Amino acid sequence: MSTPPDPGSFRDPLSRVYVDRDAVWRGLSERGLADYQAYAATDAYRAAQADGRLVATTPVPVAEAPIDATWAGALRHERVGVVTYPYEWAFSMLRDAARLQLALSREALAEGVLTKDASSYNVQFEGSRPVFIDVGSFERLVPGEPWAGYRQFCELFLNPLYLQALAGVPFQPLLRGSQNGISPTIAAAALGSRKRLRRDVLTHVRLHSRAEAHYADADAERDVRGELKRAGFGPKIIDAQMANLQRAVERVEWKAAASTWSTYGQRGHYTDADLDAKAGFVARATAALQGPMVLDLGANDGRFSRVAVDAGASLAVAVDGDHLVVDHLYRQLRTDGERRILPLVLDLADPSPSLGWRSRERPSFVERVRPDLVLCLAVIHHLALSNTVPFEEIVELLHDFGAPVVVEMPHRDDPMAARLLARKRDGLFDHYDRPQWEAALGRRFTVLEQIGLPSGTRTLYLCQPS
Amino acid sequence: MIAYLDAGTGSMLMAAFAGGAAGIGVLLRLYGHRILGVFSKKHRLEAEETFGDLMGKAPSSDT
Repeated sequence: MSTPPDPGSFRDPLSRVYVDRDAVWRGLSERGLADYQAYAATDAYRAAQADGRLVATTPVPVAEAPIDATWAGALRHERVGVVTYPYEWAFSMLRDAARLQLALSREALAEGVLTKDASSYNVQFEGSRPVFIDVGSFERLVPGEPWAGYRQFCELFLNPLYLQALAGVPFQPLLRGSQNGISPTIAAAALGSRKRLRRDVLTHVRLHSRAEAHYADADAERDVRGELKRAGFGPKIIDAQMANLQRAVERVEWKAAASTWSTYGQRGHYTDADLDAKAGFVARATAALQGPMVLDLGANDGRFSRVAVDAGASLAVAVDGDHLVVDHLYRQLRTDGERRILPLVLDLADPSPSLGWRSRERPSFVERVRPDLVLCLAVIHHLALSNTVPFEEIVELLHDFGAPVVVEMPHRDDPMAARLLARKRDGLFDHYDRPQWEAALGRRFTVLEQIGLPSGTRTLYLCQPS
Repeated sequence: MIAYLDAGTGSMLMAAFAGGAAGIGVLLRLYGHRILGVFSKKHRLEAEETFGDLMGKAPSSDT
């Protein structure tokens, strides 16, 4: 029996993806199958499978896969824990994804197989480890053809990195705004005269945008593909081009100044007794479930995500709105070799919507991330006071995840809540108090357990959607 | 075989430009008939035109 094809996999005519509970299945056309077999025969493929850089893949008979019977071949891929998109990644995550794309492409190229595209959506994160998921991206090299993925690599990897690192422009809103990424022309305009003479920026951004503008109408009249081939274009040049891109990716560094939250990890406003009580509460809630997937909203330095994975969570998705904090967390996780935590940049007051073709290609954050336990610690006062979201609406957001929630409520006299309240006009936020919060929570959740933190100004609840 | 992505003419030429010495060699062969003749006035004009092609400027017409 066939499941419907995944709405995000239609762009390549040679293969299509189907997702069911157990696995990801790929239907291959005859040509797609021949391309896969060519790639599977390389040492590059075997190495990438062995070290987990390429998603675990097994060829299966078409009849045994839940796909249309008309496909010539079928593959079974391991499922990735949580699907995420580049507009939810931190700078260092996008950079590691770019490294992976180039490394796998070059290794395959040495054995006569080339990637037909270079989309950052072809990379996923298994915890803190990037994995290349689009096995259908590899095809037999056509002699004399340039690398079709070059422009896409610039749009979906390199230009977002340049904008963040060189101009301080966050790439996430731009990638969320356009599935095609940041064109050479937009990148050139946004970078202005910054590093205009640096060789990699000059080549991949400035000259690239000029060449595109100059040859915008040339495609129909001129056979540049044929001309390049006759002039001796070949795999050596593609390899040099990819090496050039690798150098550019290694060179791009985001020297960010400290952001509002980047010192939050020190948590000067908490007592050690409060932190211990919170950690104990989170550990108990996690351990009561069987290897749950935990969603940590407002994760900051990932302290409670670590508590959760140490208490038995199979994966913790650590979400925070502060890009710099998430970038620090990712790099720390990589340094520690901690792979069970997936850090993401997300503004809870404006989470990723459904995007792309018919708004179905990229499902919204809430549809995509289905946790077994939600942590919402030190977040309520920010949503209720900084973002002025009513308690009822905050509770609805938590309820949307369809899982038990550990939520922390700072009372009016809590130093952090009081600081936010002090900025408000008298009387406007009188509803911010514990009884009104508990009334809102009780309408959608059943409270299973609650404790007051030792400092006396915050309450923790474990509750179940009702 | 045409890839499903349309690489774009400009990007294809940039692929050669970013492709090291061998890539520049390809560009020279592509535009060689113009670049190699820089020693005569006629060819100098053509070379300027080639430069314009590469840099995206209009070829000069006042000499």
